[in-house]
Amino acid sequence: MSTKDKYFVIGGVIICLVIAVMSPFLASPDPDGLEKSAENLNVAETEPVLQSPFPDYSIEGLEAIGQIAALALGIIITLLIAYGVAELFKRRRPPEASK
Amino acid sequence: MHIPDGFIPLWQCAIYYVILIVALYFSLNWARKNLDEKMVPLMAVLAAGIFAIMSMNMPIPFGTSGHMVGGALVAIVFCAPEAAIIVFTIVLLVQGLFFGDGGITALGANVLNMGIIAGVVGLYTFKGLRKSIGKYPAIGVAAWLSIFLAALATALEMAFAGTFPLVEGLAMMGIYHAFIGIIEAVLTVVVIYVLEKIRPDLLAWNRNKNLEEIKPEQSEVTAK
Repeated sequence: MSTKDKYFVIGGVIICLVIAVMSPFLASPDPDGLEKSAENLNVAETEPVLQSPFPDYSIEGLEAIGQIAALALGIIITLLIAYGVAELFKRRRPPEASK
Repeated sequence: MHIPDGFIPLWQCAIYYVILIVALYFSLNWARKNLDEKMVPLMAVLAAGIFAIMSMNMPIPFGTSGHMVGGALVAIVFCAPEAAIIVFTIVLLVQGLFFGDGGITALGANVLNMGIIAGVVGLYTFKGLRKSIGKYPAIGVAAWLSIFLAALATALEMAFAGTFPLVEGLAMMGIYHAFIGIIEAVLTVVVIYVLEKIRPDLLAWNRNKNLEEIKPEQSEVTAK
């Protein structure tokens, strides 16, 4: 990775973490468009098939700190998986084309 | 617009999973041919950014909220809806598995709406409009429409599943997401504007002239 790209990744992660720190305080607790539609149409809430470790981006027993930590963890996991997948499936130039 | 488990019967979930697998097959082939070294960090940062921004619900009227999705953003930045399909499969998988946001059984449908439909609508609306109304207005309209049509598609799936009645479902999803689309439009324009300022080399249209910026009419005329 070039220095420029390193700065880009670091800068990107910092912005993501800033969002993670702000959103437990700033994000609207109102239902989203789909949840609200379901509410209006009297569709009962459903249970997830899998029990996720951090439901609703929270850590049990921890308030805002738990949400920030859960989001930060999610950001890092997503970053690493996406990096890995992209690295794995990126174009590999045939050796003769690179010169 | 994350569909939870239980809103779609399992046999229909299977149909959406088949669509997901086919779409991933083509998208990963696209990556092998087109995703060069430089785009790897970009894809990783966009995926992390989309994960983060989806936590930031903003209020809209009717006691409802919405967040940016980013399907149009990824498709426009890479000039390829395939990139959005890869990114959204990853983001929605992480959200579903670790955070219970969007059902695991509904993963196929969620990628269809937020990755495939939003990505395709976003990119091709942008391509179709950029010459007539300019780059940034085209990005805004494309991002808005990507959310609006993805929401209508979700309503259709909910009707097919028997969870929402067709007309009311379309009306409600349409109205709420007409507002949520504004959030999408503003943020998509801002992110692309910032990328253009700090790293123009990362935007596909600056790299390989996928969009044939000046060429089409003029070069044909001079050739004749």
